[in-house]
Amino acid sequence: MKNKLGIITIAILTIALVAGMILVNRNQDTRRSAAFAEAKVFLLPSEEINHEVGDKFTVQLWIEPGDKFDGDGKAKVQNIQTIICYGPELALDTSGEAEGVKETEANGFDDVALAKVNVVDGKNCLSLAIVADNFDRIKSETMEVGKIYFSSVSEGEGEITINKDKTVISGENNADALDKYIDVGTVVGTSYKIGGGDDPIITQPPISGDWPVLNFKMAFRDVTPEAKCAVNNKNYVNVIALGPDGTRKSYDQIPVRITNEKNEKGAAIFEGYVELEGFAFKDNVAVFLKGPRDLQWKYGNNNQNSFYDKAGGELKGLTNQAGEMVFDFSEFPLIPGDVTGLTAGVQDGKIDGLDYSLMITNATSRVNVTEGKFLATDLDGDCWTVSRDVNALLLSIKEKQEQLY
Amino acid sequence: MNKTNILRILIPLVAVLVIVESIYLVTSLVNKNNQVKEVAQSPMSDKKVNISLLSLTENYVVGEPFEVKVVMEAENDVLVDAVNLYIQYDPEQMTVSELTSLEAMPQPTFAKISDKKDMIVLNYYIESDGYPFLAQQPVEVASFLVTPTVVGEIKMDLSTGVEDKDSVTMIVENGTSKVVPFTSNNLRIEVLE
Repeated sequence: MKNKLGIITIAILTIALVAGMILVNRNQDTRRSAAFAEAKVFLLPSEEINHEVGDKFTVQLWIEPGDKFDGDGKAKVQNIQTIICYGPELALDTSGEAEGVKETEANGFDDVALAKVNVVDGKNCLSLAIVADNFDRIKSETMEVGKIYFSSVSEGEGEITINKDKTVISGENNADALDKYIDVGTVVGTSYKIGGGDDPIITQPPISGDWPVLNFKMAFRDVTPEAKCAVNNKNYVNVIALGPDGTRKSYDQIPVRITNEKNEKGAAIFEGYVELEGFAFKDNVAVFLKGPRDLQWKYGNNNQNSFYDKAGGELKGLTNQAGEMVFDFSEFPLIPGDVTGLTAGVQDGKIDGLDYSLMITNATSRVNVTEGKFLATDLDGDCWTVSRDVNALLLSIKEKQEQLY
Repeated sequence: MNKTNILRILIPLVAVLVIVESIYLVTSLVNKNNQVKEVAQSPMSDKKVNISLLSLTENYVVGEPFEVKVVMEAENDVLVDAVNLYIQYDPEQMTVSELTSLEAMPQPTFAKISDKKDMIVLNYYIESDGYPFLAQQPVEVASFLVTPTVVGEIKMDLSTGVEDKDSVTMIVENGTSKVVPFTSNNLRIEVLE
């Protein structure tokens, strides 16, 4: 009898041991039993966020602590850990002054302990933890916990949601040092709509007939006629005319129109014209062309097909009429890659690490626009920023560096 | 040893195991409150890197080539997307040859000793995850040979774009696309006849 009792005791203790180990290894949800209050978590602005591709904006994470279950006032929030999901139209912005996620110091929060984005079922999900180190500074009021910095990477609409099941809030509980959890009552996200943006319409400057007119054909190296964003509202070049006496005159945003022709490498040939107002020369002229994502090239010869490395120029026979004496520069196309500079989004006339870094960032996020739109980091006009565009930029760097050095 | 004796030993043993496991269980639950702080945040933009042009040669003599290494060392861990190095030299003081990218870094996209601009050019563009410079861990990026052609002090400097706007030494941080500030130890040596 004694032996049977002993065996039963051992069996019970063993079962307890195994069950205990299983419990230890399992990711337990102990909040309900240990919670001392409840809180609401929400995002602001609550109304639909409307922006255009390329715009940056912030969303604020707020918390509204409820009364403690023991009736001793409202709960003080110390830590929040949550997962916030959003569609592929948005990306976490860590460029420039943006910090991805920033804690709200004024409300006692000291640190963003975790800010990591994973893709889950086609959505970007930001695992986020914001903490307060100093008990004296933590608050019990409805307050902003932190800001999330977003950039709009493609057109579309969707919701920014808070995953209630993955949200953990803890706070200060004077009544019991171990009961630190605050139940998550309700969570409220927000919504967004990202538009394609309305590029300013580039208009053709009129011809007065009083000045020489530069009629030209040109190409963007990687843009083919078939590319869906080959034609966009930024089909323009900036033109500088250089006279034989060194005179320079600039003409910005001269529209170029796609033709049915291709150059020898298959790039679409564009054509354009500009009256060189204030420029007195029709012979021995050179021109510089620069595109909205391209380096500036010098053209000193008609039908030029390589780098022009002489001073001055040899273009001859300009007339005062549009359509006459068309100079063909299409076999020495503009090379793309100057997409930014020290000022974000502003070209600096070079292709360097800044351009590459932006390109890598956008290619990783597969930033894109709808058909017919311009996107600086879409170097081949297919409406997407992908690794092909990164390779195109590297090709441009090599070509330019070989020329310079 | 009979069954009763075995049970007398086993029962306390299992009981002790259960107690120990219970303590562990409670401790692990308490510690979960603080787990959130153990996760590192993404690198920020306030990093700093030092770039040095180093030579370990003891005596420098006209006509005798010596090796110079380009060494980069980060103050804090930093992931970079791009490293654009431009090192200016005076062709009236030296000749430069045998530019070699060392194995620590990925191969440069562009590397050249330019007679046209009297410049050593090393452009590294790193694939999407960035190249990690770890704090206080010097990375030998490249080496080249310098042959002095004159007696006296000769020097090599990193170009910052003041004299040549195309040749700007620059390091760009992964993720933030911010420029990482750098300090430099340029090369100053005394050449003997």
